[in-house]
Amino acid sequence: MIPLSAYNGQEQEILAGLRQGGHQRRSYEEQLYNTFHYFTREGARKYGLTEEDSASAYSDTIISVIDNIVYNRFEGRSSLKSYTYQIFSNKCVDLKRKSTTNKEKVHQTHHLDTLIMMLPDNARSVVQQLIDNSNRSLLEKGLREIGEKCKQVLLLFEDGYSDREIAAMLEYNSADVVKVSRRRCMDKLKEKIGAFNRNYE
Amino acid sequence: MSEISDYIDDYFTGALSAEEKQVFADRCVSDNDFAQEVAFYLSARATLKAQLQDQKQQALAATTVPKAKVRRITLYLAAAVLTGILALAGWWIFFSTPSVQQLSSRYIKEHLQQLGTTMHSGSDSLQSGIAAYNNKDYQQAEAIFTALSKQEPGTPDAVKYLGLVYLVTGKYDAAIVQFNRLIQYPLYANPGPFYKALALLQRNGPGDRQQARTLLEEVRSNQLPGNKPADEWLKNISP
Repeated sequence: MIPLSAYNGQEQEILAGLRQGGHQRRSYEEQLYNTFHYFTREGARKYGLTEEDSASAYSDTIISVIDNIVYNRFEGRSSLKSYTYQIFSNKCVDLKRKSTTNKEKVHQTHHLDTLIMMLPDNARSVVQQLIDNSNRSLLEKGLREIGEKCKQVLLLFEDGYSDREIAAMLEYNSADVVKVSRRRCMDKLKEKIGAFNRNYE
Repeated sequence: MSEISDYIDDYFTGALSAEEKQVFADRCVSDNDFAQEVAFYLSARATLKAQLQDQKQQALAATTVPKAKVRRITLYLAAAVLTGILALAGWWIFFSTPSVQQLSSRYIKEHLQQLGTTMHSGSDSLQSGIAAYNNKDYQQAEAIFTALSKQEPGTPDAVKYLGLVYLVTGKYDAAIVQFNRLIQYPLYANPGPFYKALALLQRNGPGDRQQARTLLEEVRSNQLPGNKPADEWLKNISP
């Protein structure tokens, strides 16, 4: 693993800022986005993507890179630039393949894969079958009805912020209060889905 | 608040011990209702993540990239540097390309400051004149060559050297007179036209340039002495 000091000043600053978390993380996300934005030209030139697709692949890339840094999946075996470029290339290839073969983007299921892989094989196959039968549009509808505050807490948690950070950002009294609120919001969502299903039946 | 929800959240946030995790996994397999709860939890989080990604995509797309501004500044700088280089190159080409007059002056400095002494020359006076010339005693050289050139039969060398004395001392009219005389001699390789052209270019009076051009073309086409510099100079004389 490359020590932090080995990165150039700008990369070092971005990595430290993203890992530090808190409300200032957003500015480092933007800084990361701006730093390698010129990759989008490469997407158009090298992979023949439209400007729009290349920009989309780049945004996806930055989101993945941020995720990997925040969740400590970035092992620092290369510079941040090489790492970002590698992911961007893969995204461009994915997008190109999708546009030519109509295959779904792999990254959309990436997060679910990450979580479900935490289960052992036998439990995973059972849960996976149930997930396949779940109705995603109902979940999206439910999320619209649980209230903005609830949704914000859940989204921040999904974005890798800890309960303590969320408490600071949304002015909760403590991390424990956030934890309880977050779980209550999930229950609320479950109730909404249950109500939709009952109405449907 | 559901205890099951807490339990599931604890599992996926890594709050359970290894033994508790094993119990959790076993329950997924044996208890279908529990597995449904886990499936809901994971589906909800995957949906949240997808929404988060959409939000971030939109936010990033709306980000103004200052890099583009920097690049524009870089482009302006590059354009300025390029303009500077072109201007410098133009200046260099314009000012460093010597005019034909400069070329002829350079030729005089490089080739006509010293005359070659000839062993076979029968005239001691001629050698004396050459020696005076090489010592830059142009007055003495002029006197010797004038005397020699008036003798009958006059020698073309004396006329040539007299013309050269006048040329290096800036007496171009007198030089041209001598080179006209030299041109009249029926020599196999007459240097007269070249030297006359040289004198005309130095004098640079009205019509001199055009006349010099005609002479240099003659030198070049007849392969007369001085045809190499003539060829070079002709490139610098506008028709």
